[in-house]
Amino acid sequence: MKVFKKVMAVLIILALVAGWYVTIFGIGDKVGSIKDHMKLGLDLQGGVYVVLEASETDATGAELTELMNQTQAVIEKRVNEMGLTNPIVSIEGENRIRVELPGAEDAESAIETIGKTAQLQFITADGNVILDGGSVKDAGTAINTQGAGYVVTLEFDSQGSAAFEAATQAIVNKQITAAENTGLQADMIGIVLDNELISYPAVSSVISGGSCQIEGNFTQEGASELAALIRGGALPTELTEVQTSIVGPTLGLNSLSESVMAAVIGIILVFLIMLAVYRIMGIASDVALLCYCLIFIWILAGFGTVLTLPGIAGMILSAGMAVDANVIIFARIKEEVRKGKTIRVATTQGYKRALATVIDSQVTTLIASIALYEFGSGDVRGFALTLMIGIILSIFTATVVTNIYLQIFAESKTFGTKKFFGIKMEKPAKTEVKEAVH
Amino acid sequence: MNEKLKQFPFMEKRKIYYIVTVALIIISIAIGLLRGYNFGIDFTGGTLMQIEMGKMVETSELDKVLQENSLTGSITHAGEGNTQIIIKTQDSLDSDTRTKLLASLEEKYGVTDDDVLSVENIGPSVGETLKSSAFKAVGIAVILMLIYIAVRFKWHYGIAAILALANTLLIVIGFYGIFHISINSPFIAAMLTILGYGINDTIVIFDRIRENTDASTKRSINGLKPLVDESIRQTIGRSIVTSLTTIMVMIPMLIICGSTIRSFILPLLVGVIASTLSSILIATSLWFDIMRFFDKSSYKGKAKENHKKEKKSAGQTA
Repeated sequence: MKVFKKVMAVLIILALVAGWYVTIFGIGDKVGSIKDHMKLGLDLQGGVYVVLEASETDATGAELTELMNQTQAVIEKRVNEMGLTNPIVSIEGENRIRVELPGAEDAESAIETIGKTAQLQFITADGNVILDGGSVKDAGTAINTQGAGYVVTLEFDSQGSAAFEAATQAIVNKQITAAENTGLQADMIGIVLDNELISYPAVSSVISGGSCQIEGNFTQEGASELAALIRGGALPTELTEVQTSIVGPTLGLNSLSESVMAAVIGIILVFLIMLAVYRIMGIASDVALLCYCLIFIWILAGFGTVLTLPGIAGMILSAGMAVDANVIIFARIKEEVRKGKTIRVATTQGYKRALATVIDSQVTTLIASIALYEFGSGDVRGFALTLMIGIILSIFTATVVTNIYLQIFAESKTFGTKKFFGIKMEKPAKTEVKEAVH
Repeated sequence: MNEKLKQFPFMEKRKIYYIVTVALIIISIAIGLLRGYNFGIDFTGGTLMQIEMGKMVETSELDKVLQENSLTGSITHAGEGNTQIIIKTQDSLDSDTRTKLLASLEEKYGVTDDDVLSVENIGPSVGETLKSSAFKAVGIAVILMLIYIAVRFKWHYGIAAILALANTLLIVIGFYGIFHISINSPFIAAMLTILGYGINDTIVIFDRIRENTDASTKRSINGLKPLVDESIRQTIGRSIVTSLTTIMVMIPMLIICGSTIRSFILPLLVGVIASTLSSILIATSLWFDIMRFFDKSSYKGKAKENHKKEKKSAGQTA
């Protein structure tokens, strides 16, 4: 057992060093450092999030769920078109969609693009719809070779190209009579986006290739934005913006590097306090805490947790509690030694007694965090999740890591002394003697 | 442990703790109510825009810009040299309105999109949802904790722990009032952190009281007083080290980090200190008084019951 413990102790140290090395520097291209894995909340990184509500719809129950799923899919497509890293589109509650765009620079136009209904229709002069955005297979941009600016090029799917061919055939055959309300001449096809006529090319021959282009005197930006909208498809319902948050990149990045620095200084201070107060036991707790922090951040990264301010609060609290677990154990061991027990006995007994306290106090907080996770929403949930993971981990590191080192130190001839355990003996008080006898 | 601490009669002075804490809560909350709490748009709904203007611009000028856009709102300065402005409106402005407002600022002061530091826009219904869901979650959490403590300890402990927790939270709410710190969603996170920390702190001390009462053969209320004092003395070292380490984590954040984190950490710091004191002094005093009150009212029955229990436990340990 003794050898086993020592081997474990060495293994833990090696794993710690390797783990932290990877965390900070990463290995090669495949396993990046923690920076590449941790998703940062918008309050830390900068960016925009917007909550949109489908308030106009009458759908309820399964129908509403279906509608929201479709909407989510469309928005996801649009967001992906923007080429940002780690965008998140999620359904919140029953009829809300939350879109998070970390690092989005032109926030206002991003929000507009997301919320646009973008219903694209091709109509003939008599007002009939030839096809809509759903029949468009792909959309792109090109320089207008015949005129100024850019054009949007469209490619139809087979159904779309058939419909388009038939419509152009009808126009060439002069079977279309212009209706007044369309504002089109008989030989024109109207391209309508969100009820706005954006282009009305005249048809001179049958178009059968399944592709066409929209000329609307576009700038390059305008053309690619429209192409993106068409690719993304139409939103199945109208959305209104109910909540927005835009954090400029400077504000976000500043607060991130500052918090990392503050956290590192804070942790170093804690290490020093533990060493000063508990001496050799402080080493046990410092190793345990390094394990705790290492596992903690990788679990958070693995869960895909987004690190936000409330999340950091949860981390501070759970780190505080992880330290507390060690403090409770060490204080108890010191107490047992003062009662006159040897270091070895005091360590075993003190550890056992203290563990009951640790578990009672942490389980109470764990219950609170589960309730907060189950019944809270948004930030409250993020906080509760961090806290939950932290508590379970702190019980784990206190029972496994701290314990191994404590026992090795207690059994060691060199270190298992009162001096190394940071205990100054006083004359035992009378009541304490009684207690010990009792 | 020094001599003074060893002699200190904690329970003897409990009236002082009650008076001080109640006075503190009443005064701070009264000040808060008189001044009005600084509710942020997370709770009230509205729009908040923070913009770097590059130079100090008089609020009266900016008021005109708002009026031109037919908006009403307040404008405050921020940042170094007051070159930033914070526009806060009660109505939540949609993207179009915000773009228009920015356009008119751009025209007058040459600010661009890059100068927009942050925009927060909250519809009125969102704040309501936030509030009600947070209250519900906290309510359920408190009830479950109460049940757990009642089962693992006794209901006396549960009530005392929850009351002490309420005491701490009220002190922090008072702090928000006195210093006019804006109450936004980080407020909820701060309160939850203090809730978790406070209950943890209290349980550690209660655990020791439980251990000592279980070991003690004396069951009279008079014997309880030195027992509680002794329990506090035994755990006070741990309480101090733990709160010290937690405070040490926060202080660098307080010094280094920006105002957002600072205004979140400061109440948290007050909360940790209040929790530590509240668990050492208030929770124990409340527990003692609850025990005393109920022992008095049903002294005989209680005494008998305790006697039986003692015999039982004595039999078990023997």
